[in-house]
Amino acid sequence: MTVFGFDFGTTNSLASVVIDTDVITFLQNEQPIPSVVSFEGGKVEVGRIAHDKLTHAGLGVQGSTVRSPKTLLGQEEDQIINGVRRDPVQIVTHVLDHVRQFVLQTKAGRSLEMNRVVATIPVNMDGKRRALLRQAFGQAGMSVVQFVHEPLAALYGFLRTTDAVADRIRRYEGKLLLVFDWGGGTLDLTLCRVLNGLLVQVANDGTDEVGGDVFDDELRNEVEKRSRAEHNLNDQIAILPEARKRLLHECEKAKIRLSDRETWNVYVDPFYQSDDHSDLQVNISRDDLKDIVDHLVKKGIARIERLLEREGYSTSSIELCLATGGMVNMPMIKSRLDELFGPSRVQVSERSAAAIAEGAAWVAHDEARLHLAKNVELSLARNTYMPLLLAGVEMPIEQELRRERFDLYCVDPSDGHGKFSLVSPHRPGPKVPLNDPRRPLGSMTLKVDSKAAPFKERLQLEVRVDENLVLTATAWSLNQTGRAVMDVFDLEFALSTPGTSNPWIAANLIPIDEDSADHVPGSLAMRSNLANQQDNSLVPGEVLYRHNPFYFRTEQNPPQIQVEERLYYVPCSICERAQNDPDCNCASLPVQTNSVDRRPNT
Amino acid sequence: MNKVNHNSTLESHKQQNESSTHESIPASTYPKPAPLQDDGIKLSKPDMSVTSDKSDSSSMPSTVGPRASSDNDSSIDNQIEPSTKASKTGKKEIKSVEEFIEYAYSRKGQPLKLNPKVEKQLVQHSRLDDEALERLLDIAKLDKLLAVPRQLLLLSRDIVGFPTLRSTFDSFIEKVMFDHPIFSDENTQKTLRNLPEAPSIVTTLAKISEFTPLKEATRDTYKDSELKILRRNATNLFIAWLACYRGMSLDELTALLFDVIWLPASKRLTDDNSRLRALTEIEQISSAGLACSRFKTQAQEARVLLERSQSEVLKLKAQISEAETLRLKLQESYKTLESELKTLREQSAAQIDELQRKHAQERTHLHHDREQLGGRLVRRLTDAVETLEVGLSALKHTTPRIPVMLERAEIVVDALKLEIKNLEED
Repeated sequence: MTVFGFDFGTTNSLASVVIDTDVITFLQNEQPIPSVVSFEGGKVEVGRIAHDKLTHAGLGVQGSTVRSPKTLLGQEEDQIINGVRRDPVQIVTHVLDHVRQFVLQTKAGRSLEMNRVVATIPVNMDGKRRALLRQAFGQAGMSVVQFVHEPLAALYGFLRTTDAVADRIRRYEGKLLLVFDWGGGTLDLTLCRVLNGLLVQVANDGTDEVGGDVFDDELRNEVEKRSRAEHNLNDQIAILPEARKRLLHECEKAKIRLSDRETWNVYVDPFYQSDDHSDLQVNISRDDLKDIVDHLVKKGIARIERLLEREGYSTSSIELCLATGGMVNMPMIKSRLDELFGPSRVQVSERSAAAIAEGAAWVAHDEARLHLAKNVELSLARNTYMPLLLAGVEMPIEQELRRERFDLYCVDPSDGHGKFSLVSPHRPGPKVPLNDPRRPLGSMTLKVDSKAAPFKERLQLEVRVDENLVLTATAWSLNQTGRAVMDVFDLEFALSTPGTSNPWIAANLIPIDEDSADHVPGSLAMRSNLANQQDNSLVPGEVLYRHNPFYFRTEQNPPQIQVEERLYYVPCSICERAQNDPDCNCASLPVQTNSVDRRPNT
Repeated sequence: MNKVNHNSTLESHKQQNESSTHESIPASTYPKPAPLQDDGIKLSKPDMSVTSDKSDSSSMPSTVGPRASSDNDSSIDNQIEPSTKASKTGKKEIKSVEEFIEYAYSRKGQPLKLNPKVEKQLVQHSRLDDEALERLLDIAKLDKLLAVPRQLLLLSRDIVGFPTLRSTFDSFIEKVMFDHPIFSDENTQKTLRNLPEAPSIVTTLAKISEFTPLKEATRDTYKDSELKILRRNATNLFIAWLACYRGMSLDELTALLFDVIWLPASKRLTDDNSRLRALTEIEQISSAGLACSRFKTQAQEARVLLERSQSEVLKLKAQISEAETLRLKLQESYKTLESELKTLREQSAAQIDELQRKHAQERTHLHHDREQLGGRLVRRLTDAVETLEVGLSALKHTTPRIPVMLERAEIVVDALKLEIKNLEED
């Protein structure tokens, strides 16, 4: 059965599919379908018709129209639209179903049975929202085989645009690639690296402050301002209903026209509610446009520089800047990218609006799988880490589940809790040095028997990753009832490229300069009291002493750290103050040779 | 001492006064010979059909009557030829069939011969009128042991070229037989007449050899020894009848006698001594020799046939083996061909599926290209219309906005030109 690629974008949605060796994209009159739903007059309208009702830029609800319903997923409350409470999942379903129906009514699509899709998602869409999105797809009659992040899909599609795919992958092996997606609603930046044939996300950034619609808005405001100034029309002169919307559309067109022409007359008639002057005509030049939107372009380009700086890279580190989204066709944006990276390293796809959908279609066709980009580890006692899921492990697709189970011991049950802390290294790949910094994924505690000796109580930990790529960790004690459960929604993934197998068996350590995970003064960290093997050296000294004082005899040669731990809690034998009591100076007193003499008892 | 059963006895030709172990039949049994005629017919000594209970172990063929001439051809010469003897002794010559038959009965079962001169005479007087026939039948009735009819029948076989004469003899013999109780049974007569509903020859022969006269029906009474002789004579007569009227060959008759008479009789010899006795009491050596030689010939023929059959069997086996090998080869070839055909079919089906798949894919692409082309044109035209509408609106303004219209017209013209170029390139 054919699996489609489905780009449910912030601004537009699109479906593509690979037939034989070519990808076909279902554009509506050469345009993608706007991700806009209108609930006016009791009717539900989706796509271009709903888009034309928008009056200004911005995501979310505008009156009876919802732009980019994807952004509403995961919100606690339903949306009130035109006085009607509407479930965000249902709103999303309208868009998905509209796209599907459009595909199925075409002659090319009607025999393909669009029932299974690879759906693209933004990098920052967490597991909860992914589950809701899967639900919306299901309601629209489609099952999601796999989720793929939008920049990875775009990159994958780019790699597949050549017959020499393997050569291209080899060329970019180990290199940094930047996906620059500037669409109508958002600007998304993703830094990726090709590691042993896997496309790995390294870092990402984004903003909705410089979307293409914001450009249109700025231009519209400027045009209106100039028009009023030119004809001395103050703010008292009202604008006809719907006229601002038409002006917005004219400014959108003007933006496009000025790519090829030096000047353009923006014209709306009628515009003003004035007998003297009803129409609006403003001549805008390319330079005018540049002046009007330059700050937005700068803002957008600055995000690139900020991201690179944050991650410790320079523009010269970037081997490829793949630019997608409608905005990259603006000459001023293209020229800025060329300035940053050099024209040879900037790739603007001819069909930039469809790049993500087509990439997803190739992912579906090749059955490329997501892999875990970074280890998921469990902190153990004495700051060691036990990998629960290794980087490179395949992520489950539709109706699959990955499950691992581990047996652990409680090293120090004295406070009655087993402490589970899940972390993930910053470095991608399975081989990560012990001292590499880790990012906490989440933590949980489990009730244990506080009276038990170390290593007595057996604990079990199960980690599961479901089709929505949500990791669920469940812990329980074999002696106690009760469980501890936690979910991790923000795992990081890599996408396998064509011909990749066992991608990280030969993974090498990468000498990259990692930012150190400095602790903020006063911050707390949870010390794990778990171990996966019986090793007395893992037990805190003071706890072990209670159960096995013989361990601390000199001839047993106990580890110094455990000795210190034990002694830390032992009061001074002379003054009986705590070890760290500043009033205890007994250690600095000279040693009495006469056994009769005693140290002063202070 | 085993009793002889019907026909399995050796005949030993003994003079009436010979001392032997064989039982002799008193002369009174036989019709008195016709008075010696002056034609000088010299009659032979009375027929001494003998049965022997003691020597019935032999399976050799038996003949009834005087010593068979089979082992001594000179005995044939010793048979009295009527005419010759008559001339020597001055007896009356036989000039008619009646006289000859009468003469034959006087011979009491000895072999008969017809010299050409007498034969010529008989041909001229070959018919038997009713009176003569009746008289002869009366004479025949006295031969209750049926010693004579066989000799007449054998004589009749020698008559060549005179069908009337032969027919006279044959019809007389037939009447004699049918009158006799041993042949009076309806089924037996059917067999003799070769009727469709007649029982088999084997059944009839067995019946004759086991004949037991009905106590109330028989015109004569038979002693045990007479019964044995009668059975034997009747059997031999029947055999001769089959040879004459059924055209059965000597081999067939020998086989018939063997199956029905001789073999069952031999099985009654249960010990070596009785078998030895039977073997050493064969008197009709020529009969035994004839039978044995026939058997030997048959055996040889059978052996030759067997060898030929075996050779043919071997040949056929070899042919079968070759055919089997060929069959296996063909079967193997068939399997190979079938497998190749299956593979070809699968390949064809796969190719067809592939072609259909390719065709469907190409169709999808073509549909898509057409739809995209249509969508592109719609968009171009829609844009053009919207653009020109705005331009027209500008023109229609109280102060016509000509630059606006100019701009839009240029844009539309350029876009349409570009589209035309794209379409031409496509």
